Amino acid sequence: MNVRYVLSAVVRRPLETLAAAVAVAVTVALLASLGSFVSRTGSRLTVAASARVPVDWQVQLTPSGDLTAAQRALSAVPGFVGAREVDYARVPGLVSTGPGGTRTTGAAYVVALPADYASFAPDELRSLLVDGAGAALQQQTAANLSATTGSTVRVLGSGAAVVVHQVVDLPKADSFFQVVGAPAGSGASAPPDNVLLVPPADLHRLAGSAAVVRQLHVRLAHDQLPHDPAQAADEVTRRVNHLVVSLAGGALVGDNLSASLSGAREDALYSRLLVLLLGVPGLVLAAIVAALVVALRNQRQRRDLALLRLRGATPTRAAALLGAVAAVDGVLGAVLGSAASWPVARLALGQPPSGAWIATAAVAGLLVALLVELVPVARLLRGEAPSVRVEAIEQLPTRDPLPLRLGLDVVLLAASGLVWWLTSRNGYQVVVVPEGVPVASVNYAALLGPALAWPGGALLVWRLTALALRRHRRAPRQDPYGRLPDLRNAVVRHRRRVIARGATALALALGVTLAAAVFTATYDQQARVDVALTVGSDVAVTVPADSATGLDPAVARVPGATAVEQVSHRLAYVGPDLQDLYAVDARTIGRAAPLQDAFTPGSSVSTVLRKLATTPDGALLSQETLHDYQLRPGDPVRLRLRDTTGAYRTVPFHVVGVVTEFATAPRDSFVIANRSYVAQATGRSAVQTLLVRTSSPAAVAHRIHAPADATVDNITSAHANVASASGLAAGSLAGLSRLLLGFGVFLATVAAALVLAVGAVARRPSLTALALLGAAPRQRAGFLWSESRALLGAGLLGGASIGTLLAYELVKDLNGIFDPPPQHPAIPWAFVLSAVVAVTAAGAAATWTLARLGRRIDPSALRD
Amino acid sequence: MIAEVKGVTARFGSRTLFEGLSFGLAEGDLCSLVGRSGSGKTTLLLVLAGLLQPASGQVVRHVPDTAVAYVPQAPSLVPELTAAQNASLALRVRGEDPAVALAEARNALSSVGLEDAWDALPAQLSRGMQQRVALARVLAAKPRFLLADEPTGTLDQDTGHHVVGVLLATCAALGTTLVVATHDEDLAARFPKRLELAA
Repeated sequence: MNVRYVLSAVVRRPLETLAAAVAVAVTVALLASLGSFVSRTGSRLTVAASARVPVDWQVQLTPSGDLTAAQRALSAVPGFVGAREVDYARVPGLVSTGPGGTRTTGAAYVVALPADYASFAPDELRSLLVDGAGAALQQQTAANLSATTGSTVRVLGSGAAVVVHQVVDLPKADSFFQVVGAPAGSGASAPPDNVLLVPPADLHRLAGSAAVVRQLHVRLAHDQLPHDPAQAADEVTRRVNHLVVSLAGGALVGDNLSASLSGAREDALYSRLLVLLLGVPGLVLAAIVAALVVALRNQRQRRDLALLRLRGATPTRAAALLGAVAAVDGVLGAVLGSAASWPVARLALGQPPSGAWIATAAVAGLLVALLVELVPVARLLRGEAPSVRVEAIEQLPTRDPLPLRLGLDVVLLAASGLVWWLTSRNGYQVVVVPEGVPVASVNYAALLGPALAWPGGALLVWRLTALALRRHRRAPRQDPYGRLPDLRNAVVRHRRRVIARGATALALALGVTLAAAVFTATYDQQARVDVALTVGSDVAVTVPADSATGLDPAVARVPGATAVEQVSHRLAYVGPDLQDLYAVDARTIGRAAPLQDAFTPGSSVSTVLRKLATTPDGALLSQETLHDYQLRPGDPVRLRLRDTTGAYRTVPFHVVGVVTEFATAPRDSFVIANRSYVAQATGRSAVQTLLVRTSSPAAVAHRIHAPADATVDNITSAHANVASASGLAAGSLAGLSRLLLGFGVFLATVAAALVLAVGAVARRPSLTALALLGAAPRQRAGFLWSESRALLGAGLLGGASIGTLLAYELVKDLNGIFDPPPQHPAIPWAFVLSAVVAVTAAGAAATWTLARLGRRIDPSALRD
Repeated sequence: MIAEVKGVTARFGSRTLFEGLSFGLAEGDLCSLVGRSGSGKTTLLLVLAGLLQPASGQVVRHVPDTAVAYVPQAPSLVPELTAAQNASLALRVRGEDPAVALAEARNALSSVGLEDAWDALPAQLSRGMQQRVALARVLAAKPRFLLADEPTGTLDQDTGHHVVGVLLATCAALGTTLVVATHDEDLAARFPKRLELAA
């Protein structure tokens, strides 16, 4: 009997079985993919963080240190790949004599690099001008000395000279010139302005009596590191500690790899929070949809159970039989879901799912099937055998569910609002990862805001839908075409709790999807701003700062360029600090440069630029500069800039505001001023940067024929994207969003179609009775369409509301993930519209199909 | 003549329920249809109502489909509508004014003894009361050919007799042809005509 019953339940109702298995499979595939996302993201971030480091360690020998001993100790370090000796000598300055006269720099570094250093650490050096092997000048130093390849540079102190063969950029100068052994938290030291790179053989001749600091730059194998960034950082730190101990004070280690891995911890934490706030609701929703589908068997099971009990089956035996059917559904779903998770994870995440997560998801799918099929009939296993007829009738709920009666929707939303207000009123970071400290802090309390808003919003949709559908409609005076509006309204009114339940499921599905879409669009928007900030605009043409020969704006006025802005990029001394100064046309710079209110704390960027435009000698300074030099808006400040002779001249300015970021500007201190004023005060009007706004950056960049010493960059170039992308931008968030958006739209459409189908099936006897009374197909379909309209309307409206609320909270709560912070969330209208159309179309198609099926009258539906 | 059954055969799977059945029903005929369980009473009613095609043979009805009413074994009320709204459905789908349809429905409900249950939902009524609403629903529409499948099966004896009395009286007054399938020989005896299906 056991096998026969299970076989007949499974095989003789193949559609029911298939629907249940597919529903479970969706949950299994989503869970396996989400779990894989969490585990793979850590690994991806570790790889990305490791790849960003030009050299892993800078081992600096102490005066008592021994180079051979250090090299021996390094070769014993697990994962050691290689090391190169790099020597630093600080000299009083460099001198160059050319057609314009003799130029002298301040203090400079002469650095000895082995010949193969560029291939050993390719990210440390970028050759700009090459004329054979030999000494190289850093780009800014070359500008300061008006030197180029072929020039002779003399070193102050030793008086020795060297011919320059290359001009190079040091993209990672911060770490290259770091103070090894500086106490944690002391902050990064500014890299030197003047650098001369020489072959090791020339160092002692050029440095003379200057002290030489000897470092070994080390590379390690990254593929042996733990997958989690925090664990990887700990592992690397332990290797450093072991090395330091084995050298017994003979060396200090600048651990660039640990620092980079520690930075990735923040991204790893944010990715977990995203899964928690976006993925888990999606997963719960998938389980709810699976429950709805699997529950299609419930009505039949109630009848089967009643029959089994009437035939004398004990409750245990009846439960075993029903459980076996549920297990078959679950196993089929688990197998299908596990198989589906492969293409899903490959498409969304670009990697296969993890085996452990597939197993976990399969077990979860089996449990969902067992719970959903057995719990509803569990009460029937107790007491007397139930009546077959009574158990077969759909029981409409007669009162609101307990959470609504308790007012839980209001309570949850109020609590969410309160938590959100408390945590966000003073500005905060959900994730705090202090530099140099191996701990990370997550303000989980702040996550309660969105976490409570999910169920609160869903319950409110339930309540409001039921409330709106309570409206009573009076019968019309006449109804010659038998449209039956009052009767259709009465049916909807009495089914309002069922419709509200369905609308809530739909709203949740849509809400999850829309929140994920808005969050992703906002992230993409800010990532584009970040890239545009790095590049300067859609396209930027640049020559080195302070170049005497500027750029002609005409070179950028090519077809496709909608705006061209000129920027004089100068170097200015603020006290003893040499800072970048960007002289702009404040009224028009926004036409080409990316501007956001986040760049000007305390005021809108347009207000600040208006103020700058109306103050000819105005200057915007960084927060750090204002703090360090005790300056406030309105204070005078005197900067030193080069004039036409190349000598520095004092130029008075007035502080008009504070600025944190600007196109092409570095992340630390810089100055923004008016271009006309700087040109008039220094006598130099040369433009070093042209910012170009266009809708086709690559094409416009290609059309620009810039001078030989100029660089043309655009936001689509790989270089620009790599330079600005965080770990999450490097595919992780995109993967999660693809996963959630795909499943979200699928679940929303399935939820809409399913809820309508379940309602129509439950009402089949009533519709058949109507047919027997002479109701035309259109009249019967009218009842289905009324319910469909109510459900889709409430679901779409509720979904949009939940999605908007959640997206707003998520963008605010996870503000730290954005760089720069957004002014407002970005709404991907095309996707929103597509999702709404897809859900509406699915609901309409389901209703139309059910109405078509309902045209056939089946009197057997009316037999006892 | 309102309907003619000519050599009708009906099967359920491989089993033949009845074969070569022929008879005629005149306008105003009041017939009981009796037979043992499984003899095909419901099937014959469905064939007469035009809701089921016979395996062979032919049923010729001389009334339009809209004048034929069938009361199924289960009451099949719309659970979300009140008794009065349910009873008015047959008139409403024909485009009758809502107020008129409701008045007719209330009269019909009163005639089956449910004058106090106009505003009750089906879930608030007993099974027997639901069955009476189902009868009132077709009576309100004043059909010319009424087929009822075990309409008193769930009613107590007194109520069953009362309802059948109402059915007979109403149909006689309207000139409606009535065929009622029943197991109850006492009830069947109250009908002037009798159709019997052999097992």
